[in-house]
Amino acid sequence: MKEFLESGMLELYVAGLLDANERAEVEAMLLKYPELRKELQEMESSLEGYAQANAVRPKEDVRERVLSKVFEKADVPVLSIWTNPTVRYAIAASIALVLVMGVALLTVFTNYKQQETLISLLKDQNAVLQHEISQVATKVSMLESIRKPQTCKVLLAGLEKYPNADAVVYWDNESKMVTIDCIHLPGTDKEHQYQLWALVNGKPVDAGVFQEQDSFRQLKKVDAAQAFAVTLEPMGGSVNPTMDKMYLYTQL
Amino acid sequence: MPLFHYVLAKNKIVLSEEQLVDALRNRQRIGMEQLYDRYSAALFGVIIRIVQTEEIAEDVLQDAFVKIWDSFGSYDASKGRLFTWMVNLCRNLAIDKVRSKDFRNHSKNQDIEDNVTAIDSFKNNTYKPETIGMKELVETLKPEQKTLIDLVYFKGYTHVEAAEHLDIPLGTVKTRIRMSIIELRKFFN
Repeated sequence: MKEFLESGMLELYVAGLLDANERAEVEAMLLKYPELRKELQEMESSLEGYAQANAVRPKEDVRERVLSKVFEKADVPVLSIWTNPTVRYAIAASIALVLVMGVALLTVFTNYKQQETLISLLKDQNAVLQHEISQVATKVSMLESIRKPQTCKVLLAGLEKYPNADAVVYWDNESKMVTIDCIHLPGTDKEHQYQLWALVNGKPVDAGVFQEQDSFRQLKKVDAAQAFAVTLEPMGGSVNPTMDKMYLYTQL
Repeated sequence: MPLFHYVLAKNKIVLSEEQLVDALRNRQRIGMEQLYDRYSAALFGVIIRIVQTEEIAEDVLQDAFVKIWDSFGSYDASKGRLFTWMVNLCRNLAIDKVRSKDFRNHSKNQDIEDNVTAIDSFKNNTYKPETIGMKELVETLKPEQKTLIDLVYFKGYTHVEAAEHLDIPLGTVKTRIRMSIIELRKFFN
């Protein structure tokens, strides 16, 4: 250690006159001999003392110049982020990604809404179709009933007063269901309706009400009948036929 | 809070070396401001001794402080005091300036004594009796030692360059420097 001190290397270290290797040597010595630190500090103090003693004060305006230059960059720390190309690209890419995702989401959402509307529409259509189908099904079953050999086609004849009146009764002997098909009957007002009667053992039995435009309308069950008659009754039908308003009659 | 500011101004907060280092590490302005106020003159003195022109010295001083602020991360407190680091930083910048393009054409190989007389005229009017004047310091050295110190310290010549310039062996350069240090040591102690 004594040799080291005498070599003057420590002074040169403080004066910044050593190269990298020499500096490393000194630093190694400082670690090895902590007492060298005291020497080092003394030299450093001398250096400062000497420098302060030979200080030259710069002109007053230099202070502002120097400080403003130093803090030039410090004022806008955010700037450093933007000048870093990698960060810039990363941020730009992220923004682009967000935008793309936003558009994608919007598209998906719009599509979804459209689909919803479409589905609702289809549901409505479906309901309508179902209704129609059921109606058709009813008609089909009716027709099938009429076609049956067991079904009796009864042509109702118009009475003197109404010679043009025409209707057909289909009586299914198996199911006993009666279907009426009006070919021609005068129009009624809102307070009146036509009513079919089945004459059973001399007594008229209600077989159902219907409108003049009804075609293949299913009416009530009739187990047995000797005759059929159609009268005009108040809306909803009557318990007993209004005899003077009889339009059609046929004996079986 | 005007009272607070008044008190602060009156007491003139002085940061310790540790606090100063911390402030600079945390990039607090007060650290830099204090640094300038306390050390700019000492550093300026070193710079001006190397570049010799006040204008150029001002530029170097500015560059130095910017560098101190920007590269403060590289200051290692375990390797020495803050002032040593700064002085060496300033000296290197000044030497770089001296060695740059046209500068060599204008500067002459001034003897260290000429340096001293020229620069003493810049010095502050207050003269402390206990001041270690460079003149006195330099007078303890032999002429050849003075020349060498001037080359190596103030002009930034490497040992090899100095040996070439003075036309002496490298070994002599090293010995001479060593002797100078021993002489200077006596002076300081």
